[in-house]
Amino acid sequence: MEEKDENKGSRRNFLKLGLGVGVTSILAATSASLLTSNKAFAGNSEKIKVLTQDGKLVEVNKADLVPADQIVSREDSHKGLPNRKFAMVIDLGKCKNARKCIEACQEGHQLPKEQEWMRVFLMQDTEKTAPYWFPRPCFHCDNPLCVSVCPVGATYKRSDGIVLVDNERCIGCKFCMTACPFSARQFHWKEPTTYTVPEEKYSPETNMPGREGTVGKCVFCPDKLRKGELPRCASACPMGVIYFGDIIEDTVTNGDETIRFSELIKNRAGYRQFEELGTEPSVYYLPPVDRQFPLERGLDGLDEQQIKKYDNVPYIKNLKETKDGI
Amino acid sequence: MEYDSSKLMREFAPQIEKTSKSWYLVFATLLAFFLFGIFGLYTQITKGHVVTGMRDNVVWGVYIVNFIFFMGMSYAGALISGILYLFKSSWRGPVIRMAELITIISLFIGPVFILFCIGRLDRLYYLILFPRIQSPITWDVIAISTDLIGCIIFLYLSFIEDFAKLRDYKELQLPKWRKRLYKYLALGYQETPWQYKIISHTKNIMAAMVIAIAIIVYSVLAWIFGVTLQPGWHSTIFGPYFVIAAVYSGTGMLIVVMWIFRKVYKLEEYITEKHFVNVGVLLLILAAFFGYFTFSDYLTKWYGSIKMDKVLIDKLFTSEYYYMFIASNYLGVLVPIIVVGIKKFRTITNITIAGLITVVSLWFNRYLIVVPTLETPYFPIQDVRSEWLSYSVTWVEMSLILAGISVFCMLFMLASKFVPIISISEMEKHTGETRGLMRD
Amino acid sequence: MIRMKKKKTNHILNIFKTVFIALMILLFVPEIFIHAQDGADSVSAKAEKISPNLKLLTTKNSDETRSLIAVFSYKDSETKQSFDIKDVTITFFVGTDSLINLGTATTDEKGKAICSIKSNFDFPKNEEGFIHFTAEFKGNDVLEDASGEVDVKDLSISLTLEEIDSVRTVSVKVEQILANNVRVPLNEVDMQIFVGRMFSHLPIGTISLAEGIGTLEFPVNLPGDTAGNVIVIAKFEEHEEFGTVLKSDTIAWGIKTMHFNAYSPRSLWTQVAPVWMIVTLSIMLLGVWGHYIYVIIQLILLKKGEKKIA
Repeated sequence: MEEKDENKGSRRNFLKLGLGVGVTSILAATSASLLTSNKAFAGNSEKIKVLTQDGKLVEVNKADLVPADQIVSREDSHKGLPNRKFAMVIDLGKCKNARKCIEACQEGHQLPKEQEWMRVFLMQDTEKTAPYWFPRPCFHCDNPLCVSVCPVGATYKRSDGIVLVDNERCIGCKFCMTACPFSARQFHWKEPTTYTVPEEKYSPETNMPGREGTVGKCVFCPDKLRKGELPRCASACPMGVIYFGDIIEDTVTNGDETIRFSELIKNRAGYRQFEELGTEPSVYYLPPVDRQFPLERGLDGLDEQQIKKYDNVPYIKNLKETKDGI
Repeated sequence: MEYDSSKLMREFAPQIEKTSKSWYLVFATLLAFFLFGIFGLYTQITKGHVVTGMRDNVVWGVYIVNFIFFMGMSYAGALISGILYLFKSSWRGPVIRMAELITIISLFIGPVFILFCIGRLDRLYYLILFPRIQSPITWDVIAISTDLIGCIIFLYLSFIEDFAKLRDYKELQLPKWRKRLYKYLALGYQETPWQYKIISHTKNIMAAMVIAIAIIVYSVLAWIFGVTLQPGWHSTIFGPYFVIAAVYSGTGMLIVVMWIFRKVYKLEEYITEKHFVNVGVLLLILAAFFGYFTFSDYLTKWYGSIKMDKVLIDKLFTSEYYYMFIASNYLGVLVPIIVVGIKKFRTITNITIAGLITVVSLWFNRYLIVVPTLETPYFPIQDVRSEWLSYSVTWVEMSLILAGISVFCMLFMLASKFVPIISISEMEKHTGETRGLMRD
Repeated sequence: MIRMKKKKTNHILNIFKTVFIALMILLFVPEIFIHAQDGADSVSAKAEKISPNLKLLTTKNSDETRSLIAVFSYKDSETKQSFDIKDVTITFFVGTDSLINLGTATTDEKGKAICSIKSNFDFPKNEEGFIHFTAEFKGNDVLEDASGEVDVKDLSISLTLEEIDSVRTVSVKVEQILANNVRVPLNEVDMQIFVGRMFSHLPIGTISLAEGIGTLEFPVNLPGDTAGNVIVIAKFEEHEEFGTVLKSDTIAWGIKTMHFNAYSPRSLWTQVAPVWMIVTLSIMLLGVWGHYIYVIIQLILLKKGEKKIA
């Protein structure tokens, strides 16, 4: 029996290895299949539409495209994707704290288990109001205080709205962390050990590998966006809570459903958290109405310690008190 | 009282010439503390900032508190000596040198504490290489370096006359290089009218500069907090509040320093109760101002309480911060006012105790500004790691605080071996001024 | 639940019992079987093999080429976790009786292998007009054999974009192409019209096809690129009869968008500071340092005066 389990483990490892980093693209797949007797293939002539630097749609040969896995250099990461302005819409009515967004983010950015760029708070504004799960990425504000206060320009905002941190430039003064009212930034208090990405492959777009004494945060996954894919959290969410898109083309999608951003915000009374602070976030929220799941579902599968972190939330306090009472 | 140069030199030469055993003993003890701090720093650099009590919410801890604290004390000299000098207060003579020394010494120590807070010291030069002038830290770098240089010039100006006196005092029992150094530093000052004119003219300029810059430095420091949106920090009153708090703590420190040197170097003849009372009155005025600023800051936050301000104030008044709050913001204000305000209590010892209470409570005042705010972010702190929830000082931070204090004392001790702790030229001038007054 | 039923009838309970026993047998027998094998000396590699899933999808692209997409994955029966498997070679075939080899492709990190087929390729069709595609994977040491298949009818979509009486109109004509090139218009089927977006296609409306024809009014307020271009797409997505079929065309019907100078080059958060800030700082620094320099010059003069007196 033991032996069997061991075999299973190694088998799983094999599969995981197969999933690891590698540059086998669709491109390679098509060219490999050219060797065919009856010449059924159209070869590499597959055309796709891309947006040029001046914001025009053009058709190019797929084969002419640079592989998307190429690392974006520190200088190039300062330029945003042309004619794009990204925004996220989070539907609080659908979130049940499945934590899949957090896990996908941690896996994608090789973060340690306790470091969460994406957070899910249990919010309850007052004792009388209803509690709700609140996913919080970096808000990528349009008036980013964190960027304003940076003394060395290590954090910057790009034309597509994304705020990044260059941890080769960061001096670790932590001023951005106190300037951010949303606790979105995190410091590497010790040399991180979870990174397998080599140092020379560092790009602010992924912020990997993290360096001791510098700041990291949610990056909106520009590496994915360059490939036309959704950020990791958005594509990982099983509930389709997280919509992401370009508000220049007025469209957001959660992978299943594609909607016009303006209509979604209008029809569902979308708002921005802490609007009064004036940082102009790029993350919008849809109020937690018509819940798809009872709140308690979010507590399923959490251990005692994890539930303990919500102790200050009135709802949890009540829950524990009634439990103790019985 | 009348003083002439040769009498004063005879009086103060031993302080420079001879070094007692107890001096060495104290110095060695302080050095031990300093080395312990170096060990703490080494630990922090090798193991990372994880050895401090700081975490993702409370990203700034006692290092920043100490930074503000020492920077605040540096104000003592800047403002007190500057103002006393500009307004030609008749009693400034014996205290002005000490005030200037406090300034320069704490101005050296203060910025070092902000360095402890920086994650990557190896990239510190990026501050100059890639500056962004929108950042208050850049303002701080510019302002502090400007202030430091201004204070050094001002201090040097006030030393020139004394260096000349030390150079001319033939009986001085010192090694040759020391005498040569004095000669070099005296710049050939012979007290000729045109030389005297240059010195007093430049001193006037620098006194004014130092006052102005010190106000800017301390405001900039306040703006590091004020420009953020954090509850408790985002306050327009912070600039002037920090300036007043700084002068206040500096004045308290001046009283303590006066008392120590008076005891150690037997300066009872020069530093009299009158000086203590005069500086004490200054302390009283500042205490009132400081109390007023503190009150109006917290009153406006409490009265029309925005949610986060209310959470913060509740925290200050209900948690373990309550006693710290009472101690720093009530005792720290009321004790100096009562001690100096009521004639009966106005003794040297009492005033010194009041000064000491001021210094300590101002340190806690800064702690209460920095830490509870960072423990009260807009989003609730929901973390499985318990040490992430609140801040507590670790031994590394403790060691560096102690090192800071011991360096402060050590530099004072060294300075007192280099120049007379009381400015001889100022004492003489003071005599001249009173003579002139008597003639009129 | 069970208890409730027990109260009502014992009959249902009996059925449950039988089913339960049957389930247990089903669950344990293979386990016993495996144990028996383990016991029987050599640990057979075959017993340890993974049986992967091979899903085959087909898309008829706008340029009339056809893509066969094989998705190769494996679901762990215990953890219910699904893994995509990359670097696996898949062979594609078409036909029912005599298979025509279409070629091979290797899966990428998402477990996808794509085979593109020329637009003029003549696929064999059965009498109903269905084309039968198969994808095959010949097993290796770790993976068992797997195959996937899909039957689709060939569909032709023609998309016309024109302004009719100053109304921007999307017109489609959809026909099935059955065996021997018989074209039959599609009737009483809804077809969605999209515009191409960065991550996905944004639906702008549905056309109900009548005799294979239908029209849709294009919305007036839709953003396009800087020149106002949008890609209009008529599409069936994973239709049970046709697979994915799409036709697209680009037209300047969108609103021109311009986002380049959306941000001021000088603000608090840009790299370059606002002018007032630079001016203020310069004035202050010049004022202070000017005085410093003046004082230092005075001291140098003092020092020079030394020689005169000597």
